[in-house]
Amino acid sequence: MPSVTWHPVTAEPLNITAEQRLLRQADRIILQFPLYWYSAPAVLKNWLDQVLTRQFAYPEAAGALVGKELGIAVSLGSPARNFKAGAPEHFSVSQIMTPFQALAHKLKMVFLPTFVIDQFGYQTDAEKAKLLINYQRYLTQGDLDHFEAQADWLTTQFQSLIAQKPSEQKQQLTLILEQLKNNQADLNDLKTNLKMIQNMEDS
Amino acid sequence: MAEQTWATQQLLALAAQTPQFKERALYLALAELSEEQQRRLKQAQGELDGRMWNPSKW
Repeated sequence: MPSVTWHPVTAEPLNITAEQRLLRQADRIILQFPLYWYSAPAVLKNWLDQVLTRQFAYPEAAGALVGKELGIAVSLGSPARNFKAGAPEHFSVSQIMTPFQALAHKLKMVFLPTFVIDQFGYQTDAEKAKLLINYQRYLTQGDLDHFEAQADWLTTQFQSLIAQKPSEQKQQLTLILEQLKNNQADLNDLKTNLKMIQNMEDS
Repeated sequence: MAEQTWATQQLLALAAQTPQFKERALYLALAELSEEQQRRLKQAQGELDGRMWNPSKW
């Protein structure tokens, strides 16, 4: 995806200024890791400790991350359904991610719902396909919770795919795209009308 | 199950004949979007009819 920077964090010595520059460039920062003993692996913790200096990150100092989004993409070694009160892991993924939420809060960032990957090896092809799209949406879709934003995101992706196709296929794909866009426009019209009626009923 | 729309059918057919995983994943997601749009359209249309047919407001 063109607007995404994939940056592996390694155990090599860090160039703090370069790492901070990358963070400054991003609107949405996703920390992606496998869950190690209910936390991030040591290498990522070390990276956070070194890169997020007070001078750089504190809102009352440079506040370089203020207003940016912070997301977590985490893969679990046991099924996601185990992460809740009364289940084998006892704590929810949200509870386990609290330190990152606290970090986002301290730095005046917007904390996103955590993206969970579990039992990847057991997933069917269709499930993996869905996971891929949801992951891509997590990286780049504007408003993660709204169906309309999802529809916009999907049709935009479709549009870029169509642009790369030979002209004989372009025509067929564009017809499908138009249909999806029309559906969405009809849906928006209906919603507007419904809202109007609801307002009339309330008054 | 409700009848699939033309767009859904086209997208599922495209998915079935596309070997590249990323592209196939997009077609499948678009097919799902198309179905969800139909479901929501039907629901919203139903709600609109229901609210317009409101004897207490006559």
